[in-house]
Amino acid sequence: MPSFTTRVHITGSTHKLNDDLPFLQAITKTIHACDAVVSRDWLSEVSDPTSEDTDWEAALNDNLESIRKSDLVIIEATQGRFSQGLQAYTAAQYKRPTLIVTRSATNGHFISGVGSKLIAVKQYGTKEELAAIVTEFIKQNSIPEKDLRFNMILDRRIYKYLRDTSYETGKNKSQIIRSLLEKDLKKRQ
Amino acid sequence: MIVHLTASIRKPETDAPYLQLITETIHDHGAVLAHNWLDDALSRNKNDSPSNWTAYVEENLEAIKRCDVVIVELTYSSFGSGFLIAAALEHKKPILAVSRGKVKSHTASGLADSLFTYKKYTTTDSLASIIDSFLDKNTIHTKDLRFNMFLTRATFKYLEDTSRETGKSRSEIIRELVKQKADKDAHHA
Repeated sequence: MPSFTTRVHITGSTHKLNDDLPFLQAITKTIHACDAVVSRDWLSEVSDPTSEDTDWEAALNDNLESIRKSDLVIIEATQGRFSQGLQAYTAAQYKRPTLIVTRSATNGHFISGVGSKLIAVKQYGTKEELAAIVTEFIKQNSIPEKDLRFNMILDRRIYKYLRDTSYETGKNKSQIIRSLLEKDLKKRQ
Repeated sequence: MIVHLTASIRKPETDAPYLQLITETIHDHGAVLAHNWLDDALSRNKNDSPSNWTAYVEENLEAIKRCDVVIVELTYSSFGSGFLIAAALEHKKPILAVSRGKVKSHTASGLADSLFTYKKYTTTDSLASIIDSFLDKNTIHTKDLRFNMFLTRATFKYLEDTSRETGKSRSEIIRELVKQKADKDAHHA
């Protein structure tokens, strides 16, 4: 049993789902092979994506919620649709490492300009290439669930502050730093 | 007022009149475009796209930060439109999306944010009227604005007392409080 579970949000276009479905399924399979889980299994829910009865507000909210809950985001953007652009920006906004994969040429398109520290744009041709790209992305960005050892350099002033606070509160220096980080994290959320 | 206009151009000969009308209506309002990309885009060859898409995306994101409102022509679903609308929402800009296509069958119809308005148009007249009404609604005059509000007895008494103590008018006290809150929120954003 692996010691970590990475949650991955996958999104793609329902516009030409029959064309993209085998590749979306290949992404799902690769995610599972990497011992990660899919945050929202929307592929099995899609019936008639062109229907005017589709509750777009619910679908969009489910996707945005899934991005919030995920560790990583993978976007199949061959169709280059509105929803994929919206989710790509939102994922980066929430600081989720995001992989955009496409079978279309990226050169000469908006998508080729969105790469950043958080967004990687990759072109693929076959399911095998896609699986390799997805595997590498997940491996690079997975964070183990167990506690991680972290070493850092402290300047004299900070060290003295931690030592004094530790003496006053009875907490060790690591606990003090962890609680400061947790407080900051809560504030940001 | 600064307006950022964004659109996906698939058929310049069909799209040009509508996009030019949007630009003219913006100018008729005494507003200006944050980034005038349209003339270049309409005049260049279909296969001749910007050479540096990273710079192009950055320019668009910068324009969104600088502008007061965003107008998106959404007849064609595009990755770029979704990406830029998400950016505009992050920066709390009022957004008007207009489309000649069916509004209800588009993911954008699921955006429930009060800053986002999505309208269908069929003719140049209906488009001009939609743009006019959006700009009218979102114009913030540069001169100071009169604002009336009700106060509870306790709030009124607090303002009276603070005014006496500080020598500031009640309006000044409220303005300072709002400004402090706006600065704090901007700092946390």
